[in-house]
Amino acid sequence: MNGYKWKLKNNKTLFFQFGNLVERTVVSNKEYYIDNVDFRSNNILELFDKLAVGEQAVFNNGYYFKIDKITSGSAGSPLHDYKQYDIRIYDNLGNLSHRESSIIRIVVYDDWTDKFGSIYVANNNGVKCYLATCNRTYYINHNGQTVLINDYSRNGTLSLTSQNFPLVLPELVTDRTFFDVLFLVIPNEVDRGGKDVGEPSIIGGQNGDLDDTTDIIPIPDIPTLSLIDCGMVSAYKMTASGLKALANELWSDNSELLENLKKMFLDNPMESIMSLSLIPLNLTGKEGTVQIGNYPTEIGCTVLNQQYITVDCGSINISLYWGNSLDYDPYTKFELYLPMVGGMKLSADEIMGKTLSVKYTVDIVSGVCIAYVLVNNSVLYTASGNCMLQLPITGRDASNLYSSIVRLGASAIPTLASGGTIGTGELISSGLQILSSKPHATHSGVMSGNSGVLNVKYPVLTINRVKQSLPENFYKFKGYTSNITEKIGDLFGYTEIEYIRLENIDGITDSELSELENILKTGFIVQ
Amino acid sequence: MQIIFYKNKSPKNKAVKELDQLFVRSNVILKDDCNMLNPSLQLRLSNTELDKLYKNANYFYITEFRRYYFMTDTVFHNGFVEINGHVDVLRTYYNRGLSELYCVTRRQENRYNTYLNDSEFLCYNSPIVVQKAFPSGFSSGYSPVLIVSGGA
Repeated sequence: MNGYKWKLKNNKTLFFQFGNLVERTVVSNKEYYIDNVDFRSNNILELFDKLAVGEQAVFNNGYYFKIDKITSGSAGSPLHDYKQYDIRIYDNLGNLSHRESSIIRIVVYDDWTDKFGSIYVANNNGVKCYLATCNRTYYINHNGQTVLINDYSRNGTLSLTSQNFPLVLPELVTDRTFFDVLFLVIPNEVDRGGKDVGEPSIIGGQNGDLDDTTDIIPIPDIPTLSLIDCGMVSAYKMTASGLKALANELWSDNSELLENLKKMFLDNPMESIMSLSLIPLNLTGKEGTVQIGNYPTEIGCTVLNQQYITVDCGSINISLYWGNSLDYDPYTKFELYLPMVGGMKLSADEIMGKTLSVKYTVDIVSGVCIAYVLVNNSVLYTASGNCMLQLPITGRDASNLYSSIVRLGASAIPTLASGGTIGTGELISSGLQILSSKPHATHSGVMSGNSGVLNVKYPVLTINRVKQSLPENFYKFKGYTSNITEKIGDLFGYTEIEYIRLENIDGITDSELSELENILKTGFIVQ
Repeated sequence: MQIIFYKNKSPKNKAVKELDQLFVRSNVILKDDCNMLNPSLQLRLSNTELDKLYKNANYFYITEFRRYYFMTDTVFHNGFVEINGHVDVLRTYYNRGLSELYCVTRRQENRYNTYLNDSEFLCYNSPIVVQKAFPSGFSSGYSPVLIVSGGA
């Protein structure tokens, strides 16, 4: 197919698509006709419809035209109703631009087909000049039949021999005076009020690149430089006897340790001990002795040389249960309990059919832990908590500790969530709507620090899925959802049709056609 | 006008029907004021044909109309039988172009995808709730950790 496209100034496109150019000989002259035309000229029609007599529009080459006269008429039948625009075209200096006549006549035929509007240009002396259509002969597809179109405005006859104009095809037109003006330019919008607001409706879409590749997001690396590495603090894993020995040193009257600490920390020697806590991890390190500040003691311990510890909780596979849409949101709900963090809702759409893993990074100095929830080895969710059970060393520590526990407990009361995610209502029947709108209970609240270490120590996934009621051989009675294009004769069994073009059926009446369409859409058995 | 009487053993909404031919009658008269889609036939039948008609016939084909019909009603009139019918558009046009047409299916018995949302699915009000524990986690024991300034 040959296509011609003109880009217009207002981002609209004038597009012509012709069928095959057919050559033939009439009398002794070689002629051409076009066997099928797809003529999408709405933009041009709109353009002229917006203009009133006396108004002008400017072309993008500086030329402009004025509407001199608008008339309507009919060339013999409703199919041939037309609107006639007489225009004068001026060049960019204000001189009349075309040489043969001062008036150009543009005739727009309406409603030949839903795609075809015939436009041509003729001056008032009948001298040939052409806008977009052929002033000669078209064969177009009109309501499924090939229809011959002639130039009615010329002399009102259908006779081929009366046609003396060349073809509209640009490459075959020798006198391009008006093409140059009319085809390559388009006027600016003329503001007459009542304009459409918003972007114009254009042809497009369905042209995405379908790129569904995804990047694996790894767990971030542990910092290479830690407080322990810097020597600013030291961490020791103590034994019960070691702690007892430390207490004896701190609280005895003639403690050499305490005396030395007083030299380093005049105001409060206990500030040298930053924290004493229980961490639910099996920490390892070198055997050694406790050193506080620069004072070495004889108290035995395990010297910890890593501030950040990784905890791998393993993986579980999230497999399909029903093997249908009920396995996804909003019909299946997931809640993941993360130790030291609390409950976290997960989207079934994001994890169904994948491997779910949980890993933690723990800071043993502060007790802060980050939980990473990985889906197919890519971090998808994160949450933070604290896994350190603080042990008070002084009365002030204990006071702070207990008050913080009270505050934490108040916020940790499990609450009913305001309802699970509810899908689009029309997608599912009332029974499912009720299920999907059930409140989704949160199974744990904020879980951190002292309360966290007393709870379950491994992640637990709670799955809440709807229970389908599926009668035996349901598919034979009602089929399952389908959205495929298929030849009816190739189908077997129960079928409901969404879309079909009922055409080329031998001898069918209109009422039969309606009845047949109704049967096809409400359900039938093919064979 | 030639009529072929059948016993239709298939569901009404099946395109390719399983038909047992019972008997054929020619020169059948159409009742006045009936149309091609809902014909009304008047015919005199033998006892054997009557027996077949009442026991089995539920479907007929009018050769001249090139259409299949469901038998909707049968009425006796002084030795004549009046048979009313309604055209079976599915069977009539299946082999006259319908089977060659392409369509977009909404539901299908064999060519389906249940991951498309299905408004026909029903569910019990009691959901299935299960818990899956991860294989490992934090230690059940505790490490007492002392953090001090300075040190080693």
